[in-house]
Amino acid sequence: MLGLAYDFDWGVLWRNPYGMYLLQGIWVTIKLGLIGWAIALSLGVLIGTMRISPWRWLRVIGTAYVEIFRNIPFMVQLFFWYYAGPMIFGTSLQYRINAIIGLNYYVAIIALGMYTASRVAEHTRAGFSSISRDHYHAALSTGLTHPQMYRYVIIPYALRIIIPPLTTEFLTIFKNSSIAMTIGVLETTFMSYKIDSETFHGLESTTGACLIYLALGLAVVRLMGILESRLKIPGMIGR
Amino acid sequence: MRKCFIFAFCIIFAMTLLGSAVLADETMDRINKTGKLRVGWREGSIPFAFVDPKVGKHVGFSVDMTSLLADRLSEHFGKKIAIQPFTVTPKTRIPMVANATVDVEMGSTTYTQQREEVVDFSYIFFFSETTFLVPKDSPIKSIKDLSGKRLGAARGTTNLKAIEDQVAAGRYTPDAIVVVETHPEGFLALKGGKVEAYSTDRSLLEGLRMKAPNPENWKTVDFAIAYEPYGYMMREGNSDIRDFVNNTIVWSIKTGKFFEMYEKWMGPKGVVPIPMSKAYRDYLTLICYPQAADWWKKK
Amino acid sequence: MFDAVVKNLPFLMGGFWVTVKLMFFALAGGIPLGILVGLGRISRKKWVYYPVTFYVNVIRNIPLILVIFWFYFVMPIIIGSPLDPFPSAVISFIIFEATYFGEILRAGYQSVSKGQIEAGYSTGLTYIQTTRWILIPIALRRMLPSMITQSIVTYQDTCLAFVIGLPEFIRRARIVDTMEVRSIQLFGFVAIVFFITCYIGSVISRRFEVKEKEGG
Repeated sequence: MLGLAYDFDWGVLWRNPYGMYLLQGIWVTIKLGLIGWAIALSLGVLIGTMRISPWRWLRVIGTAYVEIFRNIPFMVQLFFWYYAGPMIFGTSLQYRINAIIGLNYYVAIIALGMYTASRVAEHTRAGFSSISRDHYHAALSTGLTHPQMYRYVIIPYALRIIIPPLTTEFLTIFKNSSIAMTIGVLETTFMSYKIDSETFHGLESTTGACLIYLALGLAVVRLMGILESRLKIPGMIGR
Repeated sequence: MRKCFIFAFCIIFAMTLLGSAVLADETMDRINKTGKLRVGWREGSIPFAFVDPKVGKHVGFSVDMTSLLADRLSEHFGKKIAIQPFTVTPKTRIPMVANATVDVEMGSTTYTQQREEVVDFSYIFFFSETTFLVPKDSPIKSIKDLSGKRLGAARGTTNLKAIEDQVAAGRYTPDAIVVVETHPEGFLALKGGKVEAYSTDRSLLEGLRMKAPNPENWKTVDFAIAYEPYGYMMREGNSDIRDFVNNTIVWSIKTGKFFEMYEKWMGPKGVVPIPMSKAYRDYLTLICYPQAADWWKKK
Repeated sequence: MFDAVVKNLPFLMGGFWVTVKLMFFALAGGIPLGILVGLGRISRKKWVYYPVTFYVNVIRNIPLILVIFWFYFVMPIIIGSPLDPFPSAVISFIIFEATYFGEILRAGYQSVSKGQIEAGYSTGLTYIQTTRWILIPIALRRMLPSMITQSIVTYQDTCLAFVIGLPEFIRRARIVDTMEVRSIQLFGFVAIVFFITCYIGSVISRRFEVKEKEGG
């Protein structure tokens, strides 16, 4: 039996400078999640709409995007953009790009946004296709034009249908942002390891990081819950 | 009187039992029981322990030292002790030793007092210094030139800590400190221009440089920002295995095997030529304490 | 074009094999545990339901990368004996993926309407017969596409074992990259391998979905 004596020291969660490390990490995690989400939402809705558009080549592009980004692990995408990405632009430009300060942050945000966009696109498509044909006909028969129909009937409906799955995606983007540590982004998970490497109290620091993610998750669920009940159409989302 | 004698005998007997229980070394026991030496090797510490993709295996100076250790252990236990390798990174090596995933870490770990509190170190077997690898025509000539540059270092290394400490002390202000996972990745970042100077121990930097397609394009700077003595790591409080490792090091110096290995990896024709300084050679000679010719035999 | 990949192919594919083994063990443990979790989540016994729900909600809100590290560094301290990186990674995957499989199971069970069950009873079937002939077949068919999708996700997740130094596919690609400096082809190759394998999986999953729709 190789029992190991372990002295707990929860002070590493708030003692100087470790508490500061964690706070900095949380701030970076929040930034990654929010900016990444802004990209994911705009790009995802666009691509989801492309997939149900009447033009074939738009649908093909949209489908290809979703299939490519969904079928390659996020970490591989991250490495590809960070290591191979700058090389694509040729030798001279490669050095200019690599010289950007904070390149790994930008790469992480963009990669996170593009990856999550493919998932948002799927939910958007599902949301639109769940609206029955009758809604379209009813809207048109009241004299609305096509753009008006989308603006006032279809999109408001679809958005409300996709809010619950998007809540899950919004949670996932914060969790996925932890993978950015593999390219040296100083977010929460990275900081918990940094504390471990300086104090050897990894148990306390990783447990602390777990609690931070749990709190963040609860906050997001709460926020989206409020949003959902505000936007509720009577009889639409049975909750 | 007779009762007293029996009582004393019992006490002595009990103490012997207790004593042997205390003296038993968990690591040595496990090696004996499993017939395996669990060793932690780095995958990018050239020339000490690194993975050669052509053979897909670990090679290097410390890897050769591990074979010597396994040989002596086999002699000691009178049976074959196999090496079970584990890959460790600067980040994982100390926890892996501390939680007994590996029996001994044989790579290129700097001996520090903070680390000594968590693990045990063998004798110091090598000295290196924290410095920077830069392109041949780099403008970095002194510590002050590090200001306004993008510096790189691996996570969890003493080198990163040294840079951060000096920045905190206001000796220079770099534009960014880019943290990478392994040294080869740091060199890759330097090649691609993600960093302008990559920092770790001079021997390792020379190792990276010599393995590059055109080593003449890179150089290590003349100054150093910290000094790094290397030791092997064992779990805290297992003195038998530590003695055994120290004995192996001393024995290898006495028999000249140490110098053969040095020649193989760091000699003029080695992977990383690092001339052995006189001070280092003297150090190696001086640490050789008297040792029985068959020290590894079980008593 | 793929010279660095070809030159190091045995080394890279050795890593791919590690990835496949990881996935196999993660599924072999994750699905059975997931079934138990799913049963716990639909249980009416409070002392079963609440602990299981707590476990599911906690794990699902923590990044997998943190779960892997937590088990890797913390388990040895708790159980008092060392853990190799491979079993350690497998355990974290099982614990993590089981919560997802459990939720799929629960959703599948709840998708079977009360009416169908009651219809079963009214034709004179017993509880066991209803479960055997109505509940399980319907729920299973509804769950299958999600189960396959989650298996693909598990396969993609295995690459995170990278962080504890397991010499799997991506770690090996990175090792070769640092020697050869051929990032585009190496990570391109890794991406293509993952894309092809995952795409095949998603096609299979969709086929089951279509069948389900046809079957009503």
